[in-house]
Amino acid sequence: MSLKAFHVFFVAIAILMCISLGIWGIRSAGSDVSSLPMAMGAAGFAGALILVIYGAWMLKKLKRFSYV
Amino acid sequence: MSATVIPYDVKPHPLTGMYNGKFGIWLFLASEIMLFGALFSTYVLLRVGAPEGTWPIAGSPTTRGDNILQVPLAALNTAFLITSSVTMVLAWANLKMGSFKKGQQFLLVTVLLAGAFLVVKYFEYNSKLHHYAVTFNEHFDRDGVESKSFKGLTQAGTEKTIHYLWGHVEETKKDADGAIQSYLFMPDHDTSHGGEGHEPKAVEIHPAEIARMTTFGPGGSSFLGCYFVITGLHGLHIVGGIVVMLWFLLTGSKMWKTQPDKYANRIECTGLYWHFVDLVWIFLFPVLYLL
Repeated sequence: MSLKAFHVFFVAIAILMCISLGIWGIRSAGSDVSSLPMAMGAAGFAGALILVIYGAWMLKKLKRFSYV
Repeated sequence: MSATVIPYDVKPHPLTGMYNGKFGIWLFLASEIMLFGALFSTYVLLRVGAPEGTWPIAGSPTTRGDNILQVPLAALNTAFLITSSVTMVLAWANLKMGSFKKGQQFLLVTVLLAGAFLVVKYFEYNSKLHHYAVTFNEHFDRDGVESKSFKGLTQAGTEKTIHYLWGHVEETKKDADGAIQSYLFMPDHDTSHGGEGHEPKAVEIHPAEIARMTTFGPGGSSFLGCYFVITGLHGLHIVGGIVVMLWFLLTGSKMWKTQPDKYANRIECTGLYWHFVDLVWIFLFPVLYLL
């Protein structure tokens, strides 16, 4: 497995982690929308979105690199 | 006498389908998975078997690590490590495409992000090592500061009431022989009378009133022991990665001039190790801080 393949796997796991941070933030904040957990939850979802966009860009950039 | 040449350091080995360095690093990472896997298993078993009310530390309102750990700092560190994986891949990709200067620049950014991770970790550790949990022999109430309490079950199944305060030791008063007379203790914001909105007030505590006094260091609880061992070992891996990357930053140009493909392969092996270290943190963060 090349660094490219491991990086794709890593980004996928990082996206899942960011989503879990988002869910944690919403559950911890409850109805308090202006709390720190809510802000962190929003940052988690934003991070997941950024990683999805980055992942698509990276796959394009590393197109000619092998997965093995 | 001719020097021994290690074969297949650029071309793939016909049996493994990869060059020898990559095969070696994957074998090493397999042993690392076993090491961290054993530590994760230890954590899960201790957590499942912990008496009620004692996880992550005696008196926590919930069993989650976010009661006593700083989630924002850990989230910042997570962002540092994810970004460092991106710069690591960009360093390797630029070297493969023949751009040594850009490759080295991205490698330098990776080292800086790893350094930032360690700086944040230092502050996190430091705050834990200066934060105290005091368990009293009986209910404590002095100068407007009252101990909190909870009823927990011991491992023998009997019910026990624990009276405690969390906070910081501002001053330790000793007699002429050096024996401790009392502690000037500043409780955390939510453990003094009145709760939120009241300024906490320092209170004097005598050693005879204390059943147990510990920092939020490795000896504070099973959770904190796991936290310091696993994150400490992970931190050592970060230091190891920094040393290797600095080595390539300082000596890389020499190899690049004569064997650019071999140098790019070495950076790929470093990148595989670095991704593993970052992946461990991606698992550690939710397990220790959020769940």
